[in-house]
Amino acid sequence: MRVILFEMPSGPCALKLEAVGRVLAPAEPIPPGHAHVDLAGLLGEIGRPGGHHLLLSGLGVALQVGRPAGTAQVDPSWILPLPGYMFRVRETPFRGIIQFPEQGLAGALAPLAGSRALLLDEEKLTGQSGYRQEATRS
Amino acid sequence: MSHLRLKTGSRRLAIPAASVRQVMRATDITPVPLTWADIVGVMNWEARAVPVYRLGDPATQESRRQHPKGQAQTEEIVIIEQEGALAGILVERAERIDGASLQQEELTLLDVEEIFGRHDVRKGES
Repeated sequence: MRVILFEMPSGPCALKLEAVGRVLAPAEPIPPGHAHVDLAGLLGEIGRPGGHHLLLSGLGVALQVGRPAGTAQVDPSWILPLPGYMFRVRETPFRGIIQFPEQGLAGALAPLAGSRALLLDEEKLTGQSGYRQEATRS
Repeated sequence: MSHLRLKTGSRRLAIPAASVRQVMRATDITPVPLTWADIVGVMNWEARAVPVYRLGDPATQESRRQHPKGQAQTEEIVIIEQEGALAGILVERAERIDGASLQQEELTLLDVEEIFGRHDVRKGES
């Protein structure tokens, strides 16, 4: 699975790259047909996440996130499920937490060795935001 | 039955050793949004994401949530298990004691079921 990594106030987060159609820089306008969803607000985080947006393909959502930090190929075995009993919400927007291995990462992945990132679920995110619309593929 | 004496803030607690899987130095706790107030984050223990609880006073909890990566190096995490569910308890110190010490020191016996029971452990994984 290839993911896009980005910074949030609580730490690094990730989304499946195939869910992201485009990354908008802070000054870029949100294309018509996309609803703005503030990820930091959705996660109840304190502090502004930054002005980038990820256009979620097919979901008609522009997700406001922090600074993008590149993409990475993630082995499914690196994704650890998060126990449901730790959350105060019934439906959590996470697929799990990516635990990058301490060793064996080369090239662009090398700086990620030993780090973690919360892997978000784009479907649950848009569902939690209360926003749904028909798919709008460009 | 032996127990572990736990020191956390002003509280002096004990927990049955049979519930404890491991005591380890507190490092590398990752904060996770939308969790209960007494959870400071998750740790990776044997390739499982384990929620880490702080049982101290609320003021301390608040401070840790604002500075989640600033935990003191002297802190330890006690990994406990119940019916396959795992949790870590962040403490200043954990030491094994015998039954006599438990009586003499008037420690509060920590109810493992209560720790897991405060949130529904039957909820699935995300």
